Amino acid sequence: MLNRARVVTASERVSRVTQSPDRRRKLQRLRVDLGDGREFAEALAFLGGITALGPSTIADLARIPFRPPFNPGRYSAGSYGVLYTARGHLTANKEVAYWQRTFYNPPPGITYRIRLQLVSWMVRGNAKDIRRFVAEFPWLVDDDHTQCRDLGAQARIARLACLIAPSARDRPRGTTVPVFVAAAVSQGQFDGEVTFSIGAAGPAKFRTKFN
Amino acid sequence: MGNLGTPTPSERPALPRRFLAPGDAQVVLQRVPLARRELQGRVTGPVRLIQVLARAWALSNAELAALLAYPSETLIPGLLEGRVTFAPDSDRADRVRIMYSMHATLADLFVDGENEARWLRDRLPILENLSPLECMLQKRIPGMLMVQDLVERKMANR
Repeated sequence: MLNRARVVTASERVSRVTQSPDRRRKLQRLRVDLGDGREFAEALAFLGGITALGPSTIADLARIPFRPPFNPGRYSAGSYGVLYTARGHLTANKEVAYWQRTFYNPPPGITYRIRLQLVSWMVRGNAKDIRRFVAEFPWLVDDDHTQCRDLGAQARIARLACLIAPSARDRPRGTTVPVFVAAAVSQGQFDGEVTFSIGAAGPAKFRTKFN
Repeated sequence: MGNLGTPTPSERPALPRRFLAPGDAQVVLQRVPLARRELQGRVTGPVRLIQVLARAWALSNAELAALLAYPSETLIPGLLEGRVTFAPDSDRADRVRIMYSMHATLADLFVDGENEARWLRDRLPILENLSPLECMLQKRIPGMLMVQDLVERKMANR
C-alpha cells in the first residue's frame, strides 16, 4: 500500500497534547513543596541536580520518543521511536482523550480534572499521505496495530520523515502525523492548556484554553 | 543520607568537653539536656521530600514503612523527625527519588490536589486490577517502576 502512495514534501505545524517539560515543572513543584531555603538545595542535590530533572524545552520534548526504551504504539512495536502528532488541536485532543479512561478510574460521584499542555512543532521532510486508503485498508484505524506497525517499519526503511494518516479517534476527517525522524521537527511552541474531565462513566471530555 | 547536610548552629548539639579546644569552651556553656542531645536531628531536604510524599499521598506509617522498605512502622516517626538516616546511594534513597518524581508529575496533572491521593487507591486494569499503591506495595521496586512508567510516560503522554 505504501508503494501506491506518492511522496509529498511535508512542511506544516503539527500538534501534540503532553505534559510541560519536566525540569521547569519539577523545580516549581520542589519550590512549592519545600520553599527556597536550605532544604530546597539539599533536596535538589539528593534528586541528582537540575539536569536530573528531565527535559527543559519543547525541543527536548520532541526528542523523548526517540530515546530508548521506545514506547510501543500504532506505528512501532517498540523497536524504534515515533513522535505521534496530529494536524489540528482537536484531533490531538481526541487522540489523548480516548486513552484517559485507561489511566483513571474515579469512584462514582468524583470527576478527575487532568491538566496537559497543547504544544506544536513544524515538521519538514518527505512524507506519504495514506488517508485515501482507509476504506480499502480499515486496519489503518483498527485497535489491532499489527499491520500499522509493519507500515511504520516500511516508512522508516523508505526514509520518510512522517506519514499523513487517518485518525482513529477523530473519524472521518481527523489527520494524524506520526513522525519517524527526530530531526524533522523544529520550532516548538506552547499553544495552550488542555483540561480533561474524567468521570466514573462515559468518555473523557476536554476543554482547551489557548495562550 | 536521609538526614543530609549538617545541623544549623542553633540545632547543633554541644560537643562533649573532651572534643573541644580551649578557645571553644564557651560553646559548652549552652547546656543541652542529654536526652534531647541524643535524639536531636535536623529535618533535611530529603526528609522533607518524604514528609511531602506522606502528606500528598495520605500514607499511613505502615504504608510509608513498606514503600521505603523499613522493617517496622515504628521507625517512621523517627524518620520524619530527622532522627533516622539513610545513605544517598541506598535502595531506600532510590525509592524516595522515584516516588517524589511521580508525585511531581501527578501534582501537575491533577487540577484538584486531593485527587492525587484518591487516584493512588483506584484499581486500574492496566495495573492488573491493582491500585497504584497496591502495585508498589505488593511488587516492590518492579511495581514502583511500573507505576512510574504509567505516570511519567503514559499519563504525561511522553
